[in-house]
Amino acid sequence: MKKTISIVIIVVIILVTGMVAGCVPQEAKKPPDEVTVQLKWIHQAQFAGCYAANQKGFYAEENIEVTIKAGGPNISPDQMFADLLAGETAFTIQGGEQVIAARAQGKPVVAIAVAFQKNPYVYVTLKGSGIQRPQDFVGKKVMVPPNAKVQHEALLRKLGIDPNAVIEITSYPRDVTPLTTGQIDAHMVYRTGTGLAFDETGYELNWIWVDDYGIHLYADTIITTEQLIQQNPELVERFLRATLKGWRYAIENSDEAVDMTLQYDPALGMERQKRMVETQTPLIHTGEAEIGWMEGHAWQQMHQMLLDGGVLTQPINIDEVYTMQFLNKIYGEAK
Amino acid sequence: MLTFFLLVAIVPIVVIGYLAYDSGRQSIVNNVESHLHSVAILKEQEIENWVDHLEHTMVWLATSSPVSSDATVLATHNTDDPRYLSAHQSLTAEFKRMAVTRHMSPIFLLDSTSGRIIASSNATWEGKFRESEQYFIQGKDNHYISEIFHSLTLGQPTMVLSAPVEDSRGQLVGVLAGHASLAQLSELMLERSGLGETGETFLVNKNNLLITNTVFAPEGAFKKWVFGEGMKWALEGKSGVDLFIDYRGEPVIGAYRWIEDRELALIAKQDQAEAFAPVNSLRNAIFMMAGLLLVIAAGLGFLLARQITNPLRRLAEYARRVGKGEYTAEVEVKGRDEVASVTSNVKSMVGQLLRMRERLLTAERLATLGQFSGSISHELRNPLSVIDSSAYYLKTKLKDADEKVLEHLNRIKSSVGSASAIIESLLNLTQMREPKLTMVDLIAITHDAIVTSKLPDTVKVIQDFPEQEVSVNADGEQLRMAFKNIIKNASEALEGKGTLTVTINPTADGQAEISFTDTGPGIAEDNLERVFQPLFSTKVRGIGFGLSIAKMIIDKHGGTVEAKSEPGKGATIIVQLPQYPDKDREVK
Repeated sequence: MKKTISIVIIVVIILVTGMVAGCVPQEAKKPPDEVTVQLKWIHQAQFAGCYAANQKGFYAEENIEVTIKAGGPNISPDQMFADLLAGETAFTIQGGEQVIAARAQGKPVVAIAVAFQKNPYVYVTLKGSGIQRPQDFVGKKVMVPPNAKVQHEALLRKLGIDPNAVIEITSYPRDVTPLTTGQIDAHMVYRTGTGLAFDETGYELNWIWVDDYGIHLYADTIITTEQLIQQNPELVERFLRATLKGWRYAIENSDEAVDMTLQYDPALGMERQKRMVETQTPLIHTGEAEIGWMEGHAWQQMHQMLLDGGVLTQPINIDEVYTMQFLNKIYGEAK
Repeated sequence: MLTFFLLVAIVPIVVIGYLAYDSGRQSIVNNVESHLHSVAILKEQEIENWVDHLEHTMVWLATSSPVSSDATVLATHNTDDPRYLSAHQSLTAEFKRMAVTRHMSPIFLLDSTSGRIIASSNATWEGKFRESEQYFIQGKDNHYISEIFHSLTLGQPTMVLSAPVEDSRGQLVGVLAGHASLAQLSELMLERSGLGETGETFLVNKNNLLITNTVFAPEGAFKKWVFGEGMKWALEGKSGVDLFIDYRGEPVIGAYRWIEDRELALIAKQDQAEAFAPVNSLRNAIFMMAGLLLVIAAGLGFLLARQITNPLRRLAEYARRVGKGEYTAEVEVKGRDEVASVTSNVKSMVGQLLRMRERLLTAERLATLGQFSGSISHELRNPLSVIDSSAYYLKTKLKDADEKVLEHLNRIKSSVGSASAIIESLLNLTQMREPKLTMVDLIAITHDAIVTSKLPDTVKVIQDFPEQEVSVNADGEQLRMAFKNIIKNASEALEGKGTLTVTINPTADGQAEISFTDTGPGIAEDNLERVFQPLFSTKVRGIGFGLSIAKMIIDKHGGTVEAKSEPGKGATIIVQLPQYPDKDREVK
């Protein structure tokens, strides 16, 4: 009788333990990280990588819920950095020179990858004008957008062209008409912006790439804060991995990339977006390095350019402006 | 038996079919593998040749004296110096010439310090800067070949070759560079004769980026990253041929090569489904063949079963039934093969058995009859002797009665005599004992039989006996009885008139022949054998035991008896007995 009772007790204990163990939930699935990304400009295929990562579930795979916030004329880069540092956004996309300038102001921001390894700024001239190189700008009217001033001046410096010899125009409408109507001789445009509009004019054009003259400026750069990198490097890595995956997908599936872009702004013209994707792919990568890859000497050169251009009054530690740690991790493990 | 036959057929068919398929498949696989391997090696070779050619051109140009001296002038003079202008002009002209003929465009000279293009086959390129490019940085020291990359300026993928330009003292005066046209490379990789519909060859760089277009990604160059197994191995530095899953997730057979110098993976592959289609055709053909063979085998087996096993089964069934006692069972003999022959033999055996059985039954009946008839005969003797003695008494008492009465009394007496004779014969038959064989004088026995037969005087008797003794091994009493029966038979045939000739002849082979010839009516041919059968008689009197008893006795003595006759001319009964063997003769 005693033996029976003890056996029953042991069995009951085992059963109860088993049930309890079974009831305890497995390593509970953590809720997704909520992240807002601030785009550099209005919704367009220029940011197809982010759209793809969002819509194809790459962010979800990394357990991140992403809100994509468009930029535009109403949000300045300073505002974007302020939001970033305030924690309202986790990542922002800005030009490379903006990051350096911000750091020079003491803002603890860091570039983790560059979406456009080649700068999209390019001079457009009419074929018949004979203006085929920057050296031909002397005595000509050239319209330069404010965001491109740094590069333009760096170019003139490099080529030894007296900036005063070039007539810089800033006040005319920023569309194709000044050039096509002959009011200006050269227009510095974003290849994937007004540059596309120039394609549509049907005029034969010369394209003078700043990049061709040894002026290499990283364009759309993915930026976050030192704080986030220190406190949650896994999140940064996961976000970047998904974003880079999104970019690769967008390049491989350009038509789908356009469709995905239109989800964010149905008012966009499909044809224009398609050509945007086409023209920007060679700017995103040349095949020599992975998408997003950065080179130290490029940052050094940018730093020098800003110093020479007077944007920076004194040098900063350029190595703090960007970090390769996430790119190395993501592409290193893929090998 | 059908299943056994099928098994015997199936196993070799399956084994042979499998071996044929396997061997065929292996052979086809080897063919495809070796073809792809050759294609890959050939293309790798062609790529290397192409690159080598460009490299040599570049080096040759960079070290040629016109270029060297022109470049030296440019490096050491101001741009407005006429010598500069002249050197610039000649250099540009040279570059233009080369660009047209040598698949490189543009060709240009870079200033060794600034990396600026100072002379070019394409005038617009002058003034561009290339100081960050590896082909400039490394090209200052040694000839250099760049990766294949997408050029923003050209708007297409390209490869740059460069080489240092030195003055007569070996000092660097510039870097010569040229963009190679990839048209040739594209053509090379797109060439896919002998690779069917799904075959393709292409290049992939170390970042898994497609460098050339493929059949399934016709615009994939620089726009598609691919991750097939073959290129994975190639990017690990391996080269080989294997079966693997390609970048589409399809099973393929392919050759993969790592081109170290160019840091490119070359893949030449074909879908297994297409490459092995002949294997599938082979397999299907073998299946069909095997199936057909099996059907034929089954058909043959079935026919064979019908041919052999069915008749055998019928035979077995027949034997079983006969064995059980169903003597009326029948079996059909179909065809003329061994089974039919066996069946027919069995049938006749059964027939013989049945006949023997009949005879046995008859013999049993006769034996039983014999047993009984002995005692019946014996029983009959009593009443007969009563009748006989009464008849004798009456005859004595009535010797004065009239003729009719006396006739009837005689009738009674002679009938009793006949009945007694019959009974006597029956008793003889049933009491037949084994002959006691001794050496007997045949002549004496024969003579004795003749004498004791009491033949009527009207019958002439001729005795033709040899002079010397003839001895036989016999039971004298029985032999005499036998001869007496034969003589009696002859006598009855003669009906009181004619001749009986008895001859004794020793034959050459140690037999003694005794013949009894009568001149009676003879025996019909049909009856020549039947006269020796019991109960056979053509006479009113007698019941035909005499000759059968004689035959029995002679048979028991190891002799033969036969009848010969010419109807109307008489009959001869010939007896043959073996003579007493010489060596055993006792002198009597």
